[in-house]
Amino acid sequence: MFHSVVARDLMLAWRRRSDVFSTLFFFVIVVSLFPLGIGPETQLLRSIAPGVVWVAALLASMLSLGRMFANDEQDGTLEQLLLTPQPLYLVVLGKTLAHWLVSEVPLILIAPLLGMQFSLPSTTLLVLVITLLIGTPVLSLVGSIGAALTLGLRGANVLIALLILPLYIPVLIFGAGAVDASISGGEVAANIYLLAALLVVSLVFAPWATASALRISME
Amino acid sequence: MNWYKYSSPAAFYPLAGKLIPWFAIPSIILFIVGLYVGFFVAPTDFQQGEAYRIMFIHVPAAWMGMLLYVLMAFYAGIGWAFNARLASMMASALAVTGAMFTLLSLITGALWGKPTWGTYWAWDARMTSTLILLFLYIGFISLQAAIEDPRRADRAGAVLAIVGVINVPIIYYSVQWWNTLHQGATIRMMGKPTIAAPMLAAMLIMLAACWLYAIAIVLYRLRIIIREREQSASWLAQGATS
Amino acid sequence: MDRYAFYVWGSYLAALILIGGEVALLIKRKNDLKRQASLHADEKRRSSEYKL
Repeated sequence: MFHSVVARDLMLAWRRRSDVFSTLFFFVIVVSLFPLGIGPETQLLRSIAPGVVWVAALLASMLSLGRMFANDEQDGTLEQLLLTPQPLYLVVLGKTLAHWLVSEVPLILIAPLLGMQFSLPSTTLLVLVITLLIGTPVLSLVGSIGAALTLGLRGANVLIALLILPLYIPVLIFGAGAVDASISGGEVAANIYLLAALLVVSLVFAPWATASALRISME
Repeated sequence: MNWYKYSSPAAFYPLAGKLIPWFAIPSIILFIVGLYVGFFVAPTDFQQGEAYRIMFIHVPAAWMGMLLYVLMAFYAGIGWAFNARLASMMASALAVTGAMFTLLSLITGALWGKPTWGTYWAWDARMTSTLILLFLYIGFISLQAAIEDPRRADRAGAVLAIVGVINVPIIYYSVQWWNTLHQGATIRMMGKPTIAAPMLAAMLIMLAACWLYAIAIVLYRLRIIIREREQSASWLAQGATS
Repeated sequence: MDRYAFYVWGSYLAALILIGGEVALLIKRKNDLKRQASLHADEKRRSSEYKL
């Protein structure tokens, strides 16, 4: 059941590849705006890079979250999913995994290139990828709560951002903090452990909250 | 005494109406007393001059902002778990007042910071966490405003409030972490002056005043919410029959 | 008063505006509700006058 949920979402996303690419391009464009707005000075760019890449990742998530449940709600699949004997927790986990694979992993893959734009050293690029690898699942997990709560509402996308961005702040702090520590010679590992702790906590609690929110939205 | 009969909105409505003056009037009195003690009895602070007197409104406002959020999440949770409409309505009634106090604590904090530390806004852990708390309130209010069906709004708000309340300590500690990382040792921005007895008294009186005000205004809003829901429900029913 | 006056006055003025504003907006909300209710009642009365 879990596998079929993931497989189906991946197949549907493949059919709508342009959505995926547009999120990716948004990420790239947003990151590129900062040097244009601030100036090309290498030292400055290097110091803002962790924050810029991470904030752009947060914003890119906002764009893709709306799609998580909306399409299924429209074609009636969501109702069916709610009625299956399988625990909704697993269904939600499956959809979240699919969302992560489709919307977040491309960002992780392109992040090193963007890091090079900001003259980050290669060890820092590695740290960047690691933090994104651990942190972006949290973005999908926590974001799914927002997607479920705002299902079918007008202006859902903006509302999701309003609800979820405050909750993203710890991920931002530890993720960007780790990369920043790598540049300035601080405690990289501590930030990564904290990020991993967030991942564990959200793996346990977020799908449950999302499942509850789905039931509430679908009544 | 059977308290359960007050758990229906219709029954609680008149009770709330009777209670409001019992909280509103003492609140006004305590505000006057608190300000008097704060401005005419408490001495000038050695370090901060007269500016510290902002504390008498800043600290109570900050505490109310935090307290009301927890209460809001509590009532929302009760309303969801027990399907108790009145509890959910109470959560909705608390939200605006909590947001107001949080905003007030941010503004007074900025006005306290400028003469004391030279800057309106320093990204210290406490003020930054208060700002995020304001975002959490705005999220809750916006979500409920966007949902037309009142019961869905109640329950969705409950999920959001509970997720929020669990996240508050996480957010607070991560902001502390962030602050320490970027500023070396944590700088205590709102260092409390050495508390002389009249200062503490004034602060506690003002806190009590804010607390009583909050109860009064929340009950008043709760009555309006009860009325609004009752009206729209009866109009819907009438619309169905006419 | 000393140079702190602006900030102290400003803080309590902000408090007055926010608290007063909250009360005022709430009263307005209540009055709007009452007005809506009486309009609706009028409408109902008028529409029922035409029923045979």
